[in-house]
Amino acid sequence: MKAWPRELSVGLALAALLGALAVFAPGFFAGPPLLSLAAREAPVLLVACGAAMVIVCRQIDISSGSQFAVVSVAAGLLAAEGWPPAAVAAAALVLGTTLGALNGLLVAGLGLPSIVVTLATMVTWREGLRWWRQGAFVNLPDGLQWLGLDQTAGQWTLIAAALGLFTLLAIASRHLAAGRHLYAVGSDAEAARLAGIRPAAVTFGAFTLAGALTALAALMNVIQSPQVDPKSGTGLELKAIAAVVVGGVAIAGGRGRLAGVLLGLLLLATVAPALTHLRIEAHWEKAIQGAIILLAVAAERARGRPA
Amino acid sequence: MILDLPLAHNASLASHRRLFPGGWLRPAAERRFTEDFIRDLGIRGGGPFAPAGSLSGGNQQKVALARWLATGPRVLILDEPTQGVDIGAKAEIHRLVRRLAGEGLAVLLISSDLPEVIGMSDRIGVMRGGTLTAVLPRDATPDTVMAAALGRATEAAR
Repeated sequence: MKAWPRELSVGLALAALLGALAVFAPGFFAGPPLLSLAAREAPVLLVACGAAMVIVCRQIDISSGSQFAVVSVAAGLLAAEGWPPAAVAAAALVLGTTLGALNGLLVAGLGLPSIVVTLATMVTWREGLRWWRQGAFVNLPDGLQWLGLDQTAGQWTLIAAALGLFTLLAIASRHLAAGRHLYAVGSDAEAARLAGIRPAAVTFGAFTLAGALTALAALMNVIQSPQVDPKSGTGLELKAIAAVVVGGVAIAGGRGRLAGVLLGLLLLATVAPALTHLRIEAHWEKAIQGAIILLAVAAERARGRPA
Repeated sequence: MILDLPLAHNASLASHRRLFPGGWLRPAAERRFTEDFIRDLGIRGGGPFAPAGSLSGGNQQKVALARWLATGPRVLILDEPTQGVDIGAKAEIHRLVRRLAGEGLAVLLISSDLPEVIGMSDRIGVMRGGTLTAVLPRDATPDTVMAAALGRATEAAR
């Protein structure tokens, strides 16, 4: 209940930005570029949802960008081998879930700090991929791009799929007992344990789910282009975490909603194209995004507890 | 107690399987359950959705009690249930525990508060240095309890 004002302020900032664009640069709302922007950000939304679950659980996952690259390349290679799309998707999902579960095992099973574990897996997957593939792009077979649809239909399909999955996750996090457990463990793992919840199982589940979502995001990205870039997903983990923090999820765990994460992502993703349309020099982009993140953390602090 | 979470969430936390079969939350059932125990245990300081951290220590203690009563226990183990609790809430917790015992619940009360021990117990087990040194009847006096606690159990029994 008291959490809504925070999401509301992100929503208002977004509305103000869109309002300014509508007045000063209505060109921003032209169909095709806006649709492309949304389709590009659709995978980020899924990664951000995974990051939000992990952060609500009072952990962090900075390996999602590397997981994303590994899954993308693996999916591309399988597709190039002639696997049917459904089999590629299933294999990618298994791979991503496994990578997430490995993080979960190291953090929840061995009790290692998640920042160190995911830093290690982040570097290992990224460097292992570089060593294995030597930076080679993977050419995808014809017909995989947009799953054989035309580009506009493909983009709409992706956006709808991402929003549909997001809605399911948002509902699950508020209406399943498992979601309640996630928040309880993130607020106070010891108190949750005393109430009969197993924090290790919940933490493991959060990392595993994050891996699965990253795999789905990778698939959504792969089908947008004719080739797989082995460097794809670089910096993705930071984009996702930024959206989570701006969206009002407390970095200290236990508080925040997925609805806020969607708004945070929309706000951050709108900055770059908005600058172009408002004829502000593009190098302000990072500075403005950084300022938004700082503002979000400061707002969290102002609400009474350290962020 | 998870201080960030509302009272209702804290109270239901140990009984999710019982309250929410299938893992799907039932807010209406949870609300009813919470309102019932707020009335029943005389919890003051907030409704079902007040954060647990906003309640006084005694009322938080009652929420903790409600959490475990909700699991339908046959034995209740209370470890220092009134430590750091103000006098009024302490008396209420005592009344509550007596009522529960009267309803047939077995209560194991662990306490270092002598008047509490003597006032509440049917039987008093005295522990010293990790072993049970005496089991005294309900008419034990502070002297006999202290004697057992200090290691003069045989003398006191004489």
